[in-house]
Amino acid sequence: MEFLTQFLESIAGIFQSSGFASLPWQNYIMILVSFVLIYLAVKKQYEPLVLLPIAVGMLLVNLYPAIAMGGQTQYIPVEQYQAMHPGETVKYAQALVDGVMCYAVPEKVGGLLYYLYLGVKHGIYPPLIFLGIGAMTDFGPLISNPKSFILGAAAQIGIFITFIGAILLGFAPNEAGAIGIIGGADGPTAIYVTSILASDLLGPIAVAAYSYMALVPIIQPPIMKLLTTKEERSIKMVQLRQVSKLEKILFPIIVTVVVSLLLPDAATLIGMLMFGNLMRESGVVERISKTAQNELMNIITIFLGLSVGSTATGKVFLSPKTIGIIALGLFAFMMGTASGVIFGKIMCKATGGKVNPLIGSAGVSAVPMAARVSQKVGQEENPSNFLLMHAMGPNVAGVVGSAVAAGVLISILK
Amino acid sequence: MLDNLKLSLIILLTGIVVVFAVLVLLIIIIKLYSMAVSSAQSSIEQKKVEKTAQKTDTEEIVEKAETAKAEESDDGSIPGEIIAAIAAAVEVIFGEGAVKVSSVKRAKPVRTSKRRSAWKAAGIAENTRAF
Repeated sequence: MEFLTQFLESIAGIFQSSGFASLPWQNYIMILVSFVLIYLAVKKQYEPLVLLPIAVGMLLVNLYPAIAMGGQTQYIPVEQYQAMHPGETVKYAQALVDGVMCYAVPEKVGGLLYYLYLGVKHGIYPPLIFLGIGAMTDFGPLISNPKSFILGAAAQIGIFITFIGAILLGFAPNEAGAIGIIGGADGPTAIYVTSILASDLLGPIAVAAYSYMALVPIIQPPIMKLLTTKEERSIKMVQLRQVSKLEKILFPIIVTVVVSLLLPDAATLIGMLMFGNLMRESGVVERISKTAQNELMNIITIFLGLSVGSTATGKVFLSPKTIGIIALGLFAFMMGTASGVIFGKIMCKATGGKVNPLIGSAGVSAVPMAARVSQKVGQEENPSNFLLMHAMGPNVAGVVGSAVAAGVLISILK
Repeated sequence: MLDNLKLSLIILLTGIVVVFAVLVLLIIIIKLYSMAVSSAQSSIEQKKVEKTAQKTDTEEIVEKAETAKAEESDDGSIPGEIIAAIAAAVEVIFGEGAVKVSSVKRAKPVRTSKRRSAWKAAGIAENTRAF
């Protein structure tokens, strides 16, 4: 009989410590959300490289919250410790607690995702992602047609308009800045800004930013068609000039110097982006350039995705704030697209019909998806029209523009 | 709330002005350096063209004589077409007119037993390449 009781107690103990008994209901909803994201990544292939790690991070943290929890440290006064362990060689770090010198004795090691998250918290991953993006990006179309920068700047207007919207909805200024940056349609920049301005909102903002980037082909075309006429969409643009190697090498150096001097808070992102590009264009460090484009980029993408997903716990994610962020993010994205197209129209008029306004929508970053959308919408009207390379100019200008906008927000709101 | 709205307007104006100012500045700088680079490159090309045009008939005769000398200087076992191909390859690598092939000599044949296989040579090249 006693044996049976002990057996039942053991079973009850295991059940009590299991997720079934200890997890709040919000976690189960988030588990379902993670399944939806896994489905979108695997079946629909919406930004799977980012969405899949985010979804798995979300799944793991809601199944086992301790995976994202930090370690525990006990502070024991030095004298007390030495009295308890006479003759022991001490290997712990020392810290002053309430005026008493203590040993920091680690009691419990943190979870895996906690340590991976430190790269987000300290703003390490986004600049490294920018390094890889720079190594993969050809700025040739932008150098051959520098006016594209105007469209890259115009598409950032959505960020600042959304900022006002977020303030009106009751968000604090730093939170509003982090929400507005979703309009830049640049995942690493959104994460970088949020980790500095409002790290509590990292989960919802990262998920919203990457979701909308994945939905570019669905969100942008109706806005582009609404704001342009059939004739404007059919405009063929003249071929871009060839850019020399020297121009391509000078570009990252000049942009780094100019932007960093004018806006030091954007120096980290721009510096890394342009360093990656310099490696690519100089052609003298092919091995590390390839590493930045492939291995490093892939590793950081895994770490970033998992750690961002791990911030989306049920308690944090299922709140009215998150719904507000998701709605404002969509608004920011739409405003960015619209302002890009409107400036495209202005440039079209100013150049006497030489610019197709559709390339303006590519001014939101989302490289190269937004440029592909410009190409696709343009070709629907005129099958012999090839806008892709023309749209790549505003597209990469958008990356620089969103980094500059990030620098402005950080410098004012930090 | 009023303060926040005031801050919003400040950020809206500052953001738009700064982003446009920085990117317009970049447009100007890129235009300027593109013009400088292309004018420098076109002047270099112009000089090259002028140099080629200034070549006198005498120089051409001397060049032909040197080529003939080069062909004569080897043991005669290398056909003229191969010498021309080697000279062209050298020009491609070092640049037009940078060097002149004065003679072509056949390398001493290496004994088969001592010659490295292509795989060995590739392995050595891979392992001794400067980091």
